[in-house]
Formats: sequence, structure tokens, C-alpha cells
Amino acid sequence: MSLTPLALREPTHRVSQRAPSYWRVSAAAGAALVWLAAVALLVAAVAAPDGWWRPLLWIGVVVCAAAPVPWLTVAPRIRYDVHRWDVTDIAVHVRHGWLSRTDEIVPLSRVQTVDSAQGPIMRAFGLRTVTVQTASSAGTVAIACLDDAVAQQVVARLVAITAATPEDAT
Amino acid sequence: MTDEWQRLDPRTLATQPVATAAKALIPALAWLVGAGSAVGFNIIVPITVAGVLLIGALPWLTTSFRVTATHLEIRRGLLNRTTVTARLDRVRSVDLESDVVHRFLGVTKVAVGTGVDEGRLELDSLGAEDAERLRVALLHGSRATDEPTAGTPPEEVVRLDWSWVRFAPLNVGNLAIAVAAFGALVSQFDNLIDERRVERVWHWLGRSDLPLLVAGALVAAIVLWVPLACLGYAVRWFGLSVTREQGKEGPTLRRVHGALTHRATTVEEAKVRGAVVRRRALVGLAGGAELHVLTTGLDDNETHLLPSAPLDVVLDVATDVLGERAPVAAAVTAHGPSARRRFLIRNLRDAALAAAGAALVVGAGDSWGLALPWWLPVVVLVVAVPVAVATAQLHYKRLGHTLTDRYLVSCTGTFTAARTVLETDGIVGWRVHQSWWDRRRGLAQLVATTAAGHEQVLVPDVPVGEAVAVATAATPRMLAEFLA
Repeated sequence: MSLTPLALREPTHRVSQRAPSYWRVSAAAGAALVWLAAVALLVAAVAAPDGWWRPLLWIGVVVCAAAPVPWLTVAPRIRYDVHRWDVTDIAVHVRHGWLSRTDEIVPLSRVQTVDSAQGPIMRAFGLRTVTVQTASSAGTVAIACLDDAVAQQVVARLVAITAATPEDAT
Repeated sequence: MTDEWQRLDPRTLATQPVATAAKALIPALAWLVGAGSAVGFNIIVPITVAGVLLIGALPWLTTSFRVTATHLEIRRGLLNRTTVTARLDRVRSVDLESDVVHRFLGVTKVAVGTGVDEGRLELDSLGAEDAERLRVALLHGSRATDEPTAGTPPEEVVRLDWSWVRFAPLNVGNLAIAVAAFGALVSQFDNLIDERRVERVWHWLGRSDLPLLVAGALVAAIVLWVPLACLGYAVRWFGLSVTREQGKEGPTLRRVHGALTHRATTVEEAKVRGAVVRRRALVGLAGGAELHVLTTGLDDNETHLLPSAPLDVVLDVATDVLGERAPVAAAVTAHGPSARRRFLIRNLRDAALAAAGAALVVGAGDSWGLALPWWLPVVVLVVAVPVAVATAQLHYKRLGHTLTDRYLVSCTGTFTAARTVLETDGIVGWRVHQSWWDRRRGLAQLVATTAAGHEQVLVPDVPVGEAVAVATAATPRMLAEFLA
């Protein structure tokens, strides 16, 4: 059996326009730590006596200095282009990733809980993440970084639809 | 069964202390033999015994349960009283388990599953007859009667055949477990072992003929392993029988087995969402396989239905349980040249890495004054490349997927071939994941999420167009609106 190849279309809605800035800010904390490690390695490379480890230390310095750069520059932009979502009366479709691509689809008849969450940094940006859970622990889908108001609407809509489809959900 | 609150069986008072004593026996023995001196012995022992007795009594003192017309209710807790309630019409499985201590005392643990993984209600323990009556009441809904319902007699699906024991020694995965258990046992006594004796043995080893010694040890290991493996298989699966009974919500499957720890698991057949036929390396070569069923609401949702058994038997039982032959027998669609190339490149890369590692070791050995032959990396490469090509080919050959009327089928594995069958009706979501490398190759990792088994079934390294097509064909309504 070989089926005719099909493709998923791009979901219609984008996430909030403030999401890239949020991603940059939340990456900054991690970047600061890695750069601190880079400085420590730099000191070690300069101060350490000569030996075979010296080139290794220099490689470490370069890697640690360069590693966080994509997450602060291009990655948030690409993620914004990739991240999209759709909610129909039947299912939720979410696409995310920047180097990778992940499409997740959950039928609303199988949804068990609908959560929305907002961390302190997200609150500062007015963002909110909506999470949809099913009976499978592997089947949790998150629509990340929506405008607060949009997120509230989505939650209300999801709750209304799931309430209208009573099923065992397993 | 009445509406009144009931206690656990009084014999529960004894199970915990006896189990604790049994577990403490070996360390205590080692301690007694090793330490010998009885400093503080007089105080510690009574306190420990009193503590164990008290803790053992707690469940009995604080737990009570009842079965009403609609619900099973369990109250427990000393300071934080909690009441857990399960609707009887949501009860999907009942698991009766009694280890040696429980059996000696004539009691059994009862675990009631409602199809939600966290929602298991456990009663440790009830008298064996009470437990059986509770099981019948929960699954067959005859709460007023004291005897099991007449109904239809249980229909036998399969029963253990002693000739299957032949597969047990081939299951080398169990060898690792046995060795680990043996090591743990020995480590309890390690303060009894004289270090000088170990050194003497080591010196003796150095002087003896090594190849002969290794061969002898191998023969000894096999001679020891074969009966041990057979014994383990026999003890674990003694009296295995799988039967089908008529429950109030449709047929149920009941699996009974165990010589020492006796286990009777009953699950509603409607909640059996699929199966896994696994052919482990050597067992598979010898024409054997094992069968797991994917369920919800049990503590292990990939329930081991059949141990290593002949493939025909496994396929027949799987057909019986799934209600279709096609899922376990139908030919599967291969994943195409791109997937094959990926496995080949990946394995060749590993072979090259192994050779590079060998070169590095030779180089490092030089500077440390350890003369390793220069041709070692070449030998590694010459051996590793054919192995890499052969395993890549095997991996590709065993990879495949298909759809039958009601089931999604995914075949995976290199040495252990696994065929996972999942009811499309049990699929609660899809994930199509492509890593950066996947995107360059046009492949995808297709995941069907489900409440049953290990929560997901993976169709790995499948062409992305085919992945979406399979998902669409399996659950058309879910994907219809999202297609390009």
C-alpha cells in the first residue's frame, strides 16, 4: 500500500508580534551564563601554562562566545515565521520550530484539559501560552506566546467546543 | 458486597512486617555474620520490630472501602483523610496480585483501573475470595450476589505450553538482569571476602592458560545460564492462561500467571487499543516472539500477554485479541531510498568514528610508551564497515508501516524486530516532526499519540508526504481541514 503523498497546509494564525522580543529576552539569561563561562575559559587560556590543553581552551572560548548568538539574533525571527496555529471546530493544529519543524494536531473531542499560563517575563510582554492536554502524556500541545486577549478568547472557545463533545477521551 | 464500609482483611496486619523481614533478611544476615559483636543490639532490634509492626498496621487501621450501586469508594489516611471515588461504569481493569507473603497468608492486592493512568485505586490487601468477589462485582456488575455470576463460561484464548520454555535461554536480555541481581547479592557479603585471596586468584589467573580459561568459563556460564533461564521463565509464567469473559460493558480479557507471585489481570477488551509483537534477536532467529497488548489504566500499560512463544501462536493470539489478521500479517510499506541512505550513512559514520577512535588510542599509546600496532585502526575499519552496511540493510528491511481497516501498523528495530499495532480509534493526536536533517532528506518522524501503552506510537524516518497521507487515511476527520 502506498498512498498519494499529502502535505499539511500552513496554519492561518501567527503568534503575537511581541513574541520575538520575548524569546530574545528569555534567551539573554542563558546567553549571559554561557558568556560568563567563555570569560572564565579565556582567563584560563591566558593564565594556564603551555600544554596540549591550551588549544582546547581556546576552542572552548570561541564555542561559548558564539553559541548563544543565533538565539539572540536570527532564531527568534525564524521562529516567528514558522510558529503558526489554527483552531477549528474539530481540531487544533500548531506548527513550531526554527531549524526543525513540528506539526501537532489534536482533535478537540479528545481534549481533557485546557490551561493557560503566563510567566513573569511573559506578563511584562503581555503574552500568554495556551496548553491543550489529552489522555496521552505525549499528546500535550501548546500554542505559545499569544497576545493575552487572543489567548483568553482561544481558551474560551476551546472550552466551549470541548464541553459540547462529551466523550470518554481515552 | 453491601453498601457498608468495610475494612481490609485483618491478615494485612501481617503482610507488611513479614515482607520487610524477608527483605531485611540478607543484609541482616551479612551484618550478623560480619559484625558479630552486638553493640546496641538489645535496643535497636525491639525498636525496629515495633516500628515495622506499627507501620504495617497503619493501612489496615486507616483504610476502608465500600461498593455502592454506582461507585467504588475508598477512604484512607491518618491525618489527611482522603476519599477516592470511581464510578463503577468507568472501571476498565482489575488487577489481583499476591506475592509469596500474600499467598502464604491467603490475601491478595487489588488494583482497580478506570482508564485514567493516575486513577488507580489500590486495596492492599483483601482475602482471596473477597478480592475475587470484588472483581466480579466491579466488572460484571452483580453486586448483590455473593457468588460469581453464572453468565457465559470463560472462553480460553491461550494457555502456557511447556515446550515454549526452550526460548527462555535465548532471551539474553534477562541474562543482564540475572547478573545484576547476582552482583547485588554478592555485594551484601563483600566484607566477608578476603582481599588477599582475591589477589592470589588474580595471580593464579595470570599464570594460567588464558584462552582455555575463557573457554571453560564460557561453557560453565552456559551450563549455569540455561537451567537458570528456564527456571526463571517457569516460575514467572507458571499456569499462564488468557481467557475471555463476558463483563457488563462487553468482553474482558483475563490473564493469570505466576508460581511465586500470583497475578490475575482483567481488562476490558474495548480498552485494549493494540498490540506489540516483538521478536528479540536470538528468540526471533529461533522462530519465537512475544506479545504485549496496549491498554490503559494498568500499572504497566504495555501488558505482557505472552512470553517468548512460537510465532504462529503469538500471531493467532494477536489476531484473536485484535479481531483482525491483517495488522499482524499484512505486508508493510517500506520507507524508501532516502531512509535507506540515511541508515547507511549513519552507520558508516559510526564505523569511521570507531576507526578514528582507534587511531587516537594508538597515537596516545605512543606518547605514553604503550606500543600498539599501527594497523589497529585499519583492522577496526575493515571489520566495522561490513557490519555497518549489514546492520543498515537490516534496519531498513525491518522498517515499515501500513494501515488496515481499524489499525495503524508500525514496524521498527534492527536486531529486535517490533511490530506495533494501534487502533486508529485510540489515536488522540498526531505529531509530524522534522529535524533539520529530516527536512533535507524529506523524511519525518510521525508520532501517533494515544492513552494506551507507552502513550505514543512512532513511525520513524518516513517520507513526509507519506506521513501526512497515513495520518489522514487513519483519522480523516481530524486532518481534513489542515491539508494543503
